[in-house]
Amino acid sequence: MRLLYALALRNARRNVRRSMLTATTIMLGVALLTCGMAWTRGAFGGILQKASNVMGPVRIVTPKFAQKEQLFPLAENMPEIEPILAIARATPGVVGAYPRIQMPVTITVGDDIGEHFALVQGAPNEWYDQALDLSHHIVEGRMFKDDTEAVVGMTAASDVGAKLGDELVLLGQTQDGSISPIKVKIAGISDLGSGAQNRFVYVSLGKMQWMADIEHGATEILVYGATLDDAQAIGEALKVNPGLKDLAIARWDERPPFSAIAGIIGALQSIAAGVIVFITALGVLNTMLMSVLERTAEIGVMRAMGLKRGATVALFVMEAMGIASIGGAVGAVVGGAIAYFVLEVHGVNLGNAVNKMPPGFAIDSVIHADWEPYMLVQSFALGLVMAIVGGALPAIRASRIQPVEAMRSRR
Amino acid sequence: MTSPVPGAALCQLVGVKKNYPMGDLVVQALKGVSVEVTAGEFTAFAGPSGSGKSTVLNLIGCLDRPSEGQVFLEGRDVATLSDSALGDVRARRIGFIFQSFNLIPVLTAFENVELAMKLSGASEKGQKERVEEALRSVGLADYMTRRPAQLSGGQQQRVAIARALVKQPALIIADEPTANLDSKNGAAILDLMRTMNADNGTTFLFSTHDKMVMDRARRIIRLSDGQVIDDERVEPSPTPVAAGG
Repeated sequence: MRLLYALALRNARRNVRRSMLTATTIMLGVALLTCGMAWTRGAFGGILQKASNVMGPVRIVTPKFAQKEQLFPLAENMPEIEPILAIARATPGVVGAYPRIQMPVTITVGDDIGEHFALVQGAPNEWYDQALDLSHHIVEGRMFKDDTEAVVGMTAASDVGAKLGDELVLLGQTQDGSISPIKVKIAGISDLGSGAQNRFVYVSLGKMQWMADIEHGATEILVYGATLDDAQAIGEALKVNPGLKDLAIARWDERPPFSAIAGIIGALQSIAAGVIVFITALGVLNTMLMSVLERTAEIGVMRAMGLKRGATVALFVMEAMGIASIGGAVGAVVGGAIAYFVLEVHGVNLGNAVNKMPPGFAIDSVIHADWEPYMLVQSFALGLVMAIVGGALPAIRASRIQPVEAMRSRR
Repeated sequence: MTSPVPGAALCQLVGVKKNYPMGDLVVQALKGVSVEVTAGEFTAFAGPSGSGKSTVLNLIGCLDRPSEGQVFLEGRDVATLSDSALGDVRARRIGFIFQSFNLIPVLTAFENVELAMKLSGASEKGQKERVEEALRSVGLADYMTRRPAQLSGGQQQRVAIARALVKQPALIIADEPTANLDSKNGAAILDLMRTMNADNGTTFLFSTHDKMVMDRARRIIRLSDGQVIDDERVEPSPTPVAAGG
């Protein structure tokens, strides 16, 4: 085995240019994988974290609200939220439970009926702090202090030409469908990094309850654990609580669109990794096949001397893995460096494209990769997989060379 | 490993035919060859190109199977053995010397011989000494760490002889071993093999049309068009002094 291993490594050095080509192919594949893993983790991880925060890791609504939530059905509210909040807050793992009301409105500065649409959101100040970290995203002014003030997303403000201190008229409706206008003073303008969230107007829960005419109620109660991973246990506990049996309880990833997206993201990542491995393996296959063709006589001689088929396969796979080890190591380091210094520190600006995303699907304009050291190991291991996949066919072909071919060749 | 008894039948071909498909045609390389080789022989299969001598050696060397007839090696019908079993027979009982030497270019002389030793499944104990002894016996004690490209043609063929001998096989098959050597080196190599044959009783079978080989062979089996046309046992001519490689 030691001699076979030495032979495989020396064979790898035989045609340096070809081995370099193979190593470079693997290096590119591994670097691409590392960057891809870091970037998708950063992009999707950030989106999911942010989205789950905004949507609530676990949400309590009425069943009818859940069915029609895209229409913002204010009539399907929970009129008395205190008992529900008490149950939620007493559930193990829960660190916060907050009521919220959202509705679409038209906005304008002054007394005219507005032509610009926005979403207005009413929730307790604690929710704005914990879920949105809103006070840290105010680029002008400050957080609202009472029911007479609001914070406006910078896109919404820009749409209507609103400035700090302006009176903003929001035209919405009550739960029975009556038109309901409110007037608030702009205390702050926020930038939450996504076009969708910058179209929101943020007001106090009391103001929204008054506007929707839901005096002590809310349409949603959002429940938070210490981490996103706690959502599973909290959700299960709430679902079996008899006090909430008439309500619809769902984790963030059980609700559209994330119920579909969470699964798709995993599948897409696997497919992308598979495609990279396959394409790189083709490069390895090409160069290794050439090696086998060149060494037919030599393989025949070794087979004549008693080299078994399995050992012949191992010889070529070890050669491919030797080359892959070098290409993979360089690729992992290069890919890791690009992933960290370029994609994570600097980030990739997606520009205005993200502003067209639907509300609630909050994507930052600048996506930062999230590189982790384990990705070096994972992509290096996949580099070896590329070598095995690409080296297997030539190796099997080599093992099928009949020893008699050694006698016939180079006559 | 059992050593063959001198004079006992080592291999036997009985009515052997070998056909090769060539496109739509079938070429009959052997047309019913029957030959018996006893242990300790130093025999040449002679004949022009295409006469079938290499095919005979391939069959005896368990590298190929007959289309018809039987090939016995040490009493076993090789046609009944699996590919894996044939590999074992080749690894343990047969040594090969090729016209083009066919050494592994990335391995040193020592490692080329060592590889054959390891493939034969010989005990690890004393392997290094046996490899060194094999190379010393062919006059390459000072060239063990050189790679084939750093050796002359004659020296490479000596490594090939050491590689064939190191596992102490019952039979060594040499396919035109002098074809790529000049006359001086060719004569030296043949004399070396003669010495091995005389000292160790190792059976040597050659395919050749080189007069130098036939001059040294003790038996010459002539083939033409896939048939044995003559089987002659001869007294060898006086051995010339071996020249250096």
